[in-house]
Amino acid sequence: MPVRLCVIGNSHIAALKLGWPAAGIAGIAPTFFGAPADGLRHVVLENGVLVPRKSDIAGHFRTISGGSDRIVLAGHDAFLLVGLNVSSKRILRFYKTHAWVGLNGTAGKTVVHPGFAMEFMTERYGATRMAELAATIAGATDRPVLAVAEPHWASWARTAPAGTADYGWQDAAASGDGPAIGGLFVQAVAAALAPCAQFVPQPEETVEDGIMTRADYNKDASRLIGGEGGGTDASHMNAAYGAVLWPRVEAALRARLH
Amino acid sequence: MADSTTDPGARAGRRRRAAADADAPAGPSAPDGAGGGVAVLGGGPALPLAALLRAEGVGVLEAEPAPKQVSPALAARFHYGVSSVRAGTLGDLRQVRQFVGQALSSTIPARAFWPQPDGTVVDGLRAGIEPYGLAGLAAARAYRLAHLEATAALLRRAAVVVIPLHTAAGLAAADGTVFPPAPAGVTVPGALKLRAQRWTRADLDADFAALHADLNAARPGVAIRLIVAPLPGAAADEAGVALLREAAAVWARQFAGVAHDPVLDQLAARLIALPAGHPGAGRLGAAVARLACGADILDLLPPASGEAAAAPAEAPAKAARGRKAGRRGRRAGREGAAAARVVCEDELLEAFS
Repeated sequence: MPVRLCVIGNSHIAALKLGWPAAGIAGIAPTFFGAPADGLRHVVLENGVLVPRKSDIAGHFRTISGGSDRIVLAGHDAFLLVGLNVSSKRILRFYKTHAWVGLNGTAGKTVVHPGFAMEFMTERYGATRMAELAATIAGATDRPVLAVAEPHWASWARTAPAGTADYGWQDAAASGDGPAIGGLFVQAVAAALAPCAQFVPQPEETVEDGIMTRADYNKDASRLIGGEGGGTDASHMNAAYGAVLWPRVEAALRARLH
Repeated sequence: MADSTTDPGARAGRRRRAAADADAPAGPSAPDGAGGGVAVLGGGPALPLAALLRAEGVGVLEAEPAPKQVSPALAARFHYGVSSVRAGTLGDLRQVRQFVGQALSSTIPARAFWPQPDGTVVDGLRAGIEPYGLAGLAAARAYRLAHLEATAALLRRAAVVVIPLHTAAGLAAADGTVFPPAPAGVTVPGALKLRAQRWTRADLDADFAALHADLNAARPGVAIRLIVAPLPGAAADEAGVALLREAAAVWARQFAGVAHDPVLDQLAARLIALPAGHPGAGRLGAAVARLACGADILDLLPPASGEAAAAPAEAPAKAARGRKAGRRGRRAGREGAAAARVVCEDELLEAFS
């Protein structure tokens, strides 16, 4: 009998859903439940069931899962949380005003102990929707809970034209701090979720400069996910990204189940 | 560098204090060092001067502010917000003088960094402010230089520098560098051979002259306010405090821009001695903060019976003019009545006893 995997997330579950067929994984049966942006905040736990409090969220659940407008926790063998505000944008915002000892880009910033940076970011990622939902699920079931973050933004965002959101990728990459920032991001998210969920980091082969995603994994994502013309969305990834991520999730899941 | 007047925590602190301490001494808020802000060099759990000032709405500068979203527990663990500088409790004039001198010259004394058995390196000049050391000597050195640079920038900006002092003794290395006591769990290098030293009046005078010169070089005309109060319990250096108070009174007369108020010393000492959670701590803390920033002592006292009740609310400018005139009048009255001032001070101390 395949492992019944419940995938819950925001718009970033699209890459996993699109990439599932190409991943060619046997023995796992995923069911997807999604709500855009921070819609999962309207979902509450009632007697072992995650129930949307808003009709539009329930509608999203029905559409994406293939009919279910609620999540019965006992009906799944494992859970995978996707995105849900866990993003490297948060650590990049910190990097705009603070830098820890050992980084290059310290000019004009408050320099902090690396341990403080780690504890602070752990605290911040512990305050995300993902950490909250992981705690809710872990408190209601003993099934494994895995988590993947929102992917780093596509590398073209580094040099995007004026008007495009700038979270400081260029500064971080140009100073050579990208890999260190990306490393702390992985450590802090893993630590923040550790009490309730196991973090599966973004596959290394998809990462550029430590904090960006290689542009290939973003190609056509905006058209496939949002129906836009393309070239405007650096935050979502395509089926190829999902296909690369699935084996990592599978390995982590198998390790937890056996 | 950040000004904590915009800090939500400070605003919340003011709201809490206002709600919990409605019977705090009446009077205008303490000034905040117009045009530059207030820097507090030192302080700790016994006398959290920076926090007291923030609670009164004073813009306390911070050389190395924590991110705004940090939790109070994590900030406290890494000694953020305790003082304007993340340099530990300080409180010893020699240590303050050396710290300011090092900041303004970006110099690091020999043997400042202490290798630990676990392979990390601790900054011995502020060993107590972080729960663990750094990965190596290069990191410790870079971190200290950043700390000194941020401190120097703060000193160039601060219009008022408040310095709490609690001892006239220190732990000195052979080269004269003074180190704070090492916290439990930190290994002090044996070769350092720290010796406890007690400063003479001549030592203190020389240290203060050098400190005054350094602070004025960083910010000409800076106002320096000294508070001398002993640490609680067994840590108290009563003899040192007496010597410092005597010296501080002289420095306030001798040096431009220096203030020392014995009443403030007494109030600070009383606050330090209060048991945790004492209901009077809010009132006393407010009084300490206001006096520390130069508020008139009479502004802290309730009006005597028969004295005119407070005027109804007026436009801010008019109200400010009225307060100023009132203060001028009270000041004129005080000049010919030194005995009356003693009575007022006694009443104030009595009110907080």
